[in-house]
Amino acid sequence: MRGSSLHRRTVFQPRQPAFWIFCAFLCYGTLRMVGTLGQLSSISRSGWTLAWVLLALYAAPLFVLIYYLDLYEREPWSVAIAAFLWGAFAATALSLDAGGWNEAIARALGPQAAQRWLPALGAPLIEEFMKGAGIVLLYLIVRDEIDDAMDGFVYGALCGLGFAVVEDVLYFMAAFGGTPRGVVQGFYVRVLSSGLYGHVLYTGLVGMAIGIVVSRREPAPLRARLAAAAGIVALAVFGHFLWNSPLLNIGPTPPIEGAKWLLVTLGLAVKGLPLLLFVAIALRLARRREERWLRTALAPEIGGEGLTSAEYEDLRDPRRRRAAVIAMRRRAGAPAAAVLARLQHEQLDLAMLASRVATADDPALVQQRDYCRSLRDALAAIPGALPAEDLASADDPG
Amino acid sequence: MSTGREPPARVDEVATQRVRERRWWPALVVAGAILALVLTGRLLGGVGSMPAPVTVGDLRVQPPPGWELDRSEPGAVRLRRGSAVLDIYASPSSYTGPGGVAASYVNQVLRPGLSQLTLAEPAPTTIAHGVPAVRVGYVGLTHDGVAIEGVVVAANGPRSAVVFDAAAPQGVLATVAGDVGAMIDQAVLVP
Repeated sequence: MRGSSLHRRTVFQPRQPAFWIFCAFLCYGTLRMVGTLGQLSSISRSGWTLAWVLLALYAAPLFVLIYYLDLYEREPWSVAIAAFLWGAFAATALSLDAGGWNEAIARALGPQAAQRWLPALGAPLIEEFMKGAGIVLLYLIVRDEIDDAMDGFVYGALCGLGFAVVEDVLYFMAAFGGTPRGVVQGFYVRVLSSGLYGHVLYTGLVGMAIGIVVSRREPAPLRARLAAAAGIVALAVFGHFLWNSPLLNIGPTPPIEGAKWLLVTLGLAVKGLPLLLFVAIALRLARRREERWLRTALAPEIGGEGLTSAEYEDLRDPRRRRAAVIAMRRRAGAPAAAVLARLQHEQLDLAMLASRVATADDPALVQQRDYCRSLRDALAAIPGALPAEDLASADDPG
Repeated sequence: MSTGREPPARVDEVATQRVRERRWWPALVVAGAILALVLTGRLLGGVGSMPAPVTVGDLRVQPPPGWELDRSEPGAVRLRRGSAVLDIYASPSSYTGPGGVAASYVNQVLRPGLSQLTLAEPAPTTIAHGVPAVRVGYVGLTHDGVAIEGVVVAANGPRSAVVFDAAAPQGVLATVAGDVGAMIDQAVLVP
């Protein structure tokens, strides 16, 4: 059997030293945070449960949305979940452990300035470092899975989402009173009004920077990539700083009632929207780069054994790709649709291989072309899988 | 074909790549950087040594590492960690119960000290491993305009009442919530 897991490894790599270090920090963080979160449940069991339910409703669709950002390469679920768990438990616990920096900064600033500026000065650097360290460890575990800016963004954003979920529970219980009413208020302020601006964006950018540095698809020299990555990390930290700082705080001050809650949303948008827009543009550019990369990598393959020109037209457009699978399911059933999805998957791997090997007759590339052809043959053998026009041409002896 | 023990080798992988990937030093560098950040923080912040326990009224409280005694008067203690403070007050037992103790504290201390004070619904809780208490979260502005988050936990015993008031600038309280919860929950009644 051919290596179907060619580029898709799981996170469970016991022979990788980074795997054990990742596990050690994750176990420690889980124990630490479960203790802290459990303690907060004594404030109000109903509030605590409501907090988790609401955050699950927010995090689950966002997780899926982030996961599907990368149109050409599905990341392994185990690695995606590991990134989320690192953010939720390891990065939160380690950031709390590094809280001594806050005391040092508070002493340096003095009590008055510390009251205003401490959240903006300590947390952005410490938290982004701890979350980013997890992405670096994941890269060391499964190097093939983080090889461009988009991969890095996906894992970084999932890590940031995990961090945001646990931090939100802490806030709902500690800062919003912990009662069901307080939790709902906290959910409005921290999730509905600002859930798209925070850790998901910052760590997505940090992950993107890591992806750019370790990329094997990027033609730019390492020095240029390092400079770009440093700029992106600086932007992420600055965004976090601005969010925590008293600057641009134009929202209403307590007590907040009635329509004033809308001003809270507006005030938070002023701080968060610019970075959100920046990330949207960066993602669009990263996606275009991926499209260009796919086109370049597959250009010599189109019309060959591994990829017909019709298949390429479907492959390059994610919507057409999905539509082709749906049409196949209607025409020939679920098994045929699964084979077609697999064929598309392997053709994306063909692009990956084509961009890495030195010659067009590299044995690996030849093997991958053969595998794609065998999948196409298998598909053709399924009754109803071939479209009517193909059947007509197959029946036509002339 | 894969043996199942090891993921299948990538066909485009050069022979030495797997060996290079298994080197310990990159992972150790990351682990070292994490530990360095944590340990340097503890060193700079004076975290590590356990501060001496403080006694207020009938209650003995053990501050976790990182907290320091800021002020101590008869019946009142202030512990501080960075910009977060925990005030602990003891007073004679009140017939009004924990809810009344909390209400008195809010009216006599918080209302004069904070403008635009908003209070959460009082919620029942316990302190010192099971003594009934009331918890009230609040937000408000100091006189110099800093937004403060806080939580008051009040309990009433047979000999004395006690009030814990943890407060911090907006965004900081959550980071010390675990410490504050532990201090309140693990406080010990002095015989």
